[in-house]
Amino acid sequence: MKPRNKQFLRLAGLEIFVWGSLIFLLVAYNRILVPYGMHWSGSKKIIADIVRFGIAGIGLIAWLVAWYLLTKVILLKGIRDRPSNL
Amino acid sequence: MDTDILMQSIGLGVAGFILVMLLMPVYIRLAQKKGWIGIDIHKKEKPEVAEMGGILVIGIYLILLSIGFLLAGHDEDLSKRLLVLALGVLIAYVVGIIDDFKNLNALAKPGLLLFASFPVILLQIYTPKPIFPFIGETRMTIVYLLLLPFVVAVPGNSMNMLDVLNGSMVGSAIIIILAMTVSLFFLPLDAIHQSILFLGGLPLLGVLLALFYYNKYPARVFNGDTGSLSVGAALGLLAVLGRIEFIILVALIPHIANSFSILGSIKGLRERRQIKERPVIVHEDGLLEASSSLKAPLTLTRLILAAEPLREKQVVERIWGLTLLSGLLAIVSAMIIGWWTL
Repeated sequence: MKPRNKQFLRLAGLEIFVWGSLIFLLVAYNRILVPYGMHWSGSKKIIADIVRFGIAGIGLIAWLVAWYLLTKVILLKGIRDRPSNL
Repeated sequence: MDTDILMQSIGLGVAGFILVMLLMPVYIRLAQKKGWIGIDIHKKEKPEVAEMGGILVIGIYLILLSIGFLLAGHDEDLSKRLLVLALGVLIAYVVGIIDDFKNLNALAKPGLLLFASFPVILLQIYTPKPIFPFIGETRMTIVYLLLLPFVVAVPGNSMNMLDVLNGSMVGSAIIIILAMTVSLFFLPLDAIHQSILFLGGLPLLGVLLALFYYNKYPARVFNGDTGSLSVGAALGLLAVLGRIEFIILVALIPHIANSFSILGSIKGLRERRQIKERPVIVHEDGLLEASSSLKAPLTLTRLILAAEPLREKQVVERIWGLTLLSGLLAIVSAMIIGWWTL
């Protein structure tokens, strides 16, 4: 396969990763985290809310970091594949 | 779906296309006479090209929205939405014009673009219940209001940051609007949301198709920040007014990925003139090559060029290809939403 097509497929794969993981995060949040502690009250409810938002926040940051790292790896791989650029 | 609204939208789109096609040569001559010229740095001859074509194109789009506003006079909700869309685009248009003439700094441009969402907030024309695949309608009363300025400013700036090669921004915006229009046939939207998306989207498609004719490789006119900021803001506003936030977010993945990776690699907001290292090197024969400098920003163009040097036209075709893929993913998202809420 031509390097340019390989690079295009890498970027297309990254897009599908972003889309798929975004949907996965949404479903995981809604189906697993939102029901967690729904029936609790008082201080237990506050703890459940903190856990829920904390995990959602960590998930979101991890998603953005994974996205950025994957992008960087793809670029570095592209340049590493080209001996003239080393 | 209201057939009258659809016909009006198509009519406005066709009118916009014809007006831009007829008036752009006149604008190009005027821009050359006034010295509104930019250098096409990605070509070996470094040709001079008329700048700020967006002034004409978005000006015509705003006139079309005003006509749509008059036509929708009997429908108060629809005319309010059209007014909000026109005001938001007008704010982005003014920010773009100031930036084109005065070069706003790196913080002022995105900062001022936040104001484009203010008409939506002030007239309270939004539904804080975005619809997601597999989940359906969600309730985000407070979070939505806090995020709203970014829903308009992020697409505006993202479009602006990918307006780097001939036809890259205009071609990708056309693909996004087409994907949005196809998505409407699958989404469980009310008539009012469908109407604003048709009346706001199809005239934009019309003027952009004509602009594409002049902006495609080799470009005879550049869009300028006036064009790119306004088109992005219009997409963001349509997402809010038509309740298609997720669809537009997915369709914009290449643009958002480009802007986030630039911001990540240069560590914060910087004006393009402040960035010393260019992400792309232009060879004598016109081939573009990715810079291997660690200090150069990580742009989508540089990522595409990482494997091997390409011609400008080939890079732009790849940007369109990636936008087409995200457009298809947006349509799939719309199908999942439609299927889930059946």
